[in-house]
Amino acid sequence: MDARAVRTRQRLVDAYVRVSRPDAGVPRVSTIVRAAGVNRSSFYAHFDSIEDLTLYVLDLALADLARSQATIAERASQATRITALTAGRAYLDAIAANAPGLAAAVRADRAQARARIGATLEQTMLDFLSITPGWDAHSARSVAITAFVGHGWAGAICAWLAGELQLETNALLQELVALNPDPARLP
Amino acid sequence: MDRDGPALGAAARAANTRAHLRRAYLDLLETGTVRSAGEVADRAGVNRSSFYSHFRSVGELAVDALREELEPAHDENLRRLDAAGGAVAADESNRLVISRIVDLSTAGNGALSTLLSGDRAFGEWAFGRILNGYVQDYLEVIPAFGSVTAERRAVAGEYLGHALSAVICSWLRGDLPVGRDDLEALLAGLLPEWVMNAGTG
Repeated sequence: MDARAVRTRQRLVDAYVRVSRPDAGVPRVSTIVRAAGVNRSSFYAHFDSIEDLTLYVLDLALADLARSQATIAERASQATRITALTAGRAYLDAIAANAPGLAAAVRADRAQARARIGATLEQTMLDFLSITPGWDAHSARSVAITAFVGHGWAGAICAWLAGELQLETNALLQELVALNPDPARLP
Repeated sequence: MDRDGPALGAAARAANTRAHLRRAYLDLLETGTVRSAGEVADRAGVNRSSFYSHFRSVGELAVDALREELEPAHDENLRRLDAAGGAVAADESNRLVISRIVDLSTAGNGALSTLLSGDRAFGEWAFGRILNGYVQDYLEVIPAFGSVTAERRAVAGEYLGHALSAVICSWLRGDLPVGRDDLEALLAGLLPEWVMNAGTG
């Protein structure tokens, strides 16, 4: 993509995040192009639909989250023990750093946002379990615990980003960690 | 006719239209993914504006339709827990609830499976959203959770609702190849200590 196309794309993404409002649902193409200062045909040169742009905004935020998840995984593999609290705090910090884009996507397509945030968390945990002694990443208990934690966190984080859970980041972290399973209790 | 007559008539008509829309949605789902409100309205024999006076979107209708299918089983769960009163320990109530939640996933003529086969992300989210409400109901009804604050219930509903939905939907898809008893044992093992054994924490 040439530099101008990259700029236009970025302007559409920025406009999307800027015009997103709580309870307003999915923004309209006309609102986005006006806010971005580009014409309608430029929009359609980059995206098939507003839903397409929603998923692009979500994936941009997720790519940034993936980088911080890699950092957390890196630290986890070096430390003899990383607590759920430490890993969770780093993750929520990364969520907060990407909150505007994530919240805009959550408002527009909650199901996709939950599915994709959950899937990335699930994968990070599976990667971690595959290097953890005593865990078979392909076992039923691995599949179950990663799906449970990944999508449980994703569900709560989406509600929090949508403004439905009125908690400070630290209070949310404490609640989420208290809801995590204890692997020792798994059959 | 008493003076409440016409108002009740309108309420009954509205409930009737909603039921028609739900039925139309579930029928259409059998044949593929349902995308537009117009499609559902046509099938139900109502116009598009009537659709929007009852539901903001097809998504909202889908959650409502699925909830309606699952509601009788959930009400029965709550009745049994209520009848048992304080005589049942949290641990035992939870096992009963887990078993009934797994039942829910196959209730209503497999409405959830049908939804999942059309749009997996949406089906998992819709089931998670419904289970969120149910988890909060259980935390209110089971006496051992009497001290849990509304804020904690709300976060637990979101986390556990979507967590249970994800695991159960994996199982329905065959990604978690275990028998039903093993699934229930896994779910019991996944619930956090404070939910499984007490209510304080």
